[in-house]
Amino acid sequence: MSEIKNDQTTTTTPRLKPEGPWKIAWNRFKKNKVALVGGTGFLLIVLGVIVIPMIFSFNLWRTMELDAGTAISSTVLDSLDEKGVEIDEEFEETFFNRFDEVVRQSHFEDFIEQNELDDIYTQEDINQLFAGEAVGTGRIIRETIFVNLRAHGFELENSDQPPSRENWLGTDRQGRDVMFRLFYGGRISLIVGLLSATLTVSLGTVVGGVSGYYGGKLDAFLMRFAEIVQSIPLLPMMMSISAAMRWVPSERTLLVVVFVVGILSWPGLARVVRGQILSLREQEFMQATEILGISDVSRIFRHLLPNVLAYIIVSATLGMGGAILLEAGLSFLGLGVQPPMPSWGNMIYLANNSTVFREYLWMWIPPGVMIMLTVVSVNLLGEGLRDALDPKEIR
Amino acid sequence: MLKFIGKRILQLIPTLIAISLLIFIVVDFMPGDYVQSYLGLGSDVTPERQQEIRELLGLDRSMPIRYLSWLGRIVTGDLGRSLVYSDEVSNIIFGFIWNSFLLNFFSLIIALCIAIPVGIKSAVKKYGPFDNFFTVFSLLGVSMPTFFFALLLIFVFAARFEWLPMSGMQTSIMAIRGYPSLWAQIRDVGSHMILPVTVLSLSSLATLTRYTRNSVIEVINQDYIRTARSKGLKEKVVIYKHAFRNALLPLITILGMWIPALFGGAILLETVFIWPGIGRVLLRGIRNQDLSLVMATLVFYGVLRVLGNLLADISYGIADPRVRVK
Repeated sequence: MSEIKNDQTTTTTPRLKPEGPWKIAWNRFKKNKVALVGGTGFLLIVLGVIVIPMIFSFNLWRTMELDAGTAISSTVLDSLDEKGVEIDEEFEETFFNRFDEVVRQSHFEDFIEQNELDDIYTQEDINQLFAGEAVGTGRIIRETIFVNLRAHGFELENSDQPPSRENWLGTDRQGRDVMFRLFYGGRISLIVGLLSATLTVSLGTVVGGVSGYYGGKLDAFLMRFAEIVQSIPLLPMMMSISAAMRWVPSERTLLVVVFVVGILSWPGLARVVRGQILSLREQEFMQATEILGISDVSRIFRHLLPNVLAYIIVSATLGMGGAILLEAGLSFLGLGVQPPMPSWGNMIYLANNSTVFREYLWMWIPPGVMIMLTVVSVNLLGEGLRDALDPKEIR
Repeated sequence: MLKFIGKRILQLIPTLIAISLLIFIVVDFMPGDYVQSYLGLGSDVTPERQQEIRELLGLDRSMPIRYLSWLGRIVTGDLGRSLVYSDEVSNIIFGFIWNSFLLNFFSLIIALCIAIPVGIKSAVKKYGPFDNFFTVFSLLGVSMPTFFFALLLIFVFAARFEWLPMSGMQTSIMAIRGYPSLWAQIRDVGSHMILPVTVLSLSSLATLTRYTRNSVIEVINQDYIRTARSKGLKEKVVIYKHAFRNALLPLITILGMWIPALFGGAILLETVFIWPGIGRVLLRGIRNQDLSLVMATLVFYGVLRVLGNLLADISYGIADPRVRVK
């Protein structure tokens, strides 16, 4: 078989094969230095967030599923029980209430700083907690908490360490390696960006495609709808929707962000796609598909959409950059991806604490720089793709 | 012209209704029980009594009915009471709105004053060093998370060198004691404004420069510009009198949409700078589940956005007669 083929190629005169549109686009892309820089940068970041977290120890991986606070609140009571501290219902309730307030939420920093439970639980609190059985219990609680934390991979005594040979970017407030969280958080931020862009593009393409193809009342209705969605104030509405979806468990909050960003940012692309399709619809090749009796679905997806693919790809790329920024903003406000799941945005959230802001720069500057590098390279890539794929300039 | 404006205003009504419905639904899904948070956690009001209050406030009725009554109240200007500020919501909104306006107004003016000349110059010398510099600049500006940039600036100028105040709008001691003169007050507020205005105007500058540049480029390639040049007009006259006027059109539209976006984006900066603006009111409302406050703030942002679009349409109609006919 291969011999025959070889035979044929040798006998026929070499013919110049016309270059396909993708080949042309690729060649143009290769020549575009800006796009190449952006593409390479983005590829490196993607590789980084995939590979770098794998280097770190298993202990750190476990800390991704739990907050130090959550890690202990459930187990610490059992241990106290074993240590012979009497626990009745009232104690349990007080403990959880105070625990939530003091440890799980923002006051956790104070908790670590002082490393003395007795300071937060004033003697009076402890008296109340233990109904008179005060002596030594503060210490017991503290030790129990520390032992439990270690079992979950947290090393509180290692917290707030500046960059060193062991921890290149230092450690955070809960003693976790910042570099690990930076790249693991990068996964989350990039996934949010990717999924949001996918959702935006799918919605925009479908609405725009249907609207442009069918025209008439459906078009009028869909475009009116798009206009309404476009007049929704973006960030305030995103904040509110994501606050309304607080019931989502923390490891899925990234999907909330994807949802919020996706459903509010599709109209721009929908309009572009619609406009393109409106003009393409009248061209001869579409009349041909009509005569050939090709189905609507196939006409939209196989014949019309490939012609607007350039716009879609570019808008997906730029949309991803935008989504990463939105995620960062929402998480910075505490309304995006929720800890313990790290994301670049909620790592910068730590800077709201004035000690972290002034003293522990390694905790909040790296994620900010990573966001910038990522979005710059994504935008460069998008601009480059726009030039490379622009059908007007191809011919 | 009047007919055109009237038509546009009529078209706004369904949009406003849709937005208000969306706001209502979203806020309705927010966690938090109005009565519970009103009474405060751990109050000893019995559940039966709470139920009565709920019925009294009409909170037990079905969603469509509650929506309609809420809409009715909003339209008549009754925005309800805020729990966290324990004041009428309308007072709060009007109290904080001006602080936001102050910030956004100055930022926009500064951004425009820089963006328009820069955009024109970039367009005239396309791909020259000046243009390239600003291309890179806008790329960085668009890609930089504003709040992070703000944090960096605060760190350098306020925390490290203490040249400028860290946050807030006034020095609290001075504000409490009362300013010796109006001039002192202006200076104090002004020094607090430098950093936020810098960040906000830089972030708009990136986009606005691009828009001006692109729309000027588009106009410069038109035939009438060639005609003007071939008549022997001075390049300055060609650019500023013939090209820029027409390039202004798309810019007007952008501005109509830009102002609401600016307000929205300023939420992050108001948080970073602890600036007492409307964005912080919204955030505080969300955090404390102060539903009537959240609703009213969202309505404000929505109306701002819709009005911005309307303004863009109308001024576009004034500037370009062709739009009106369509």
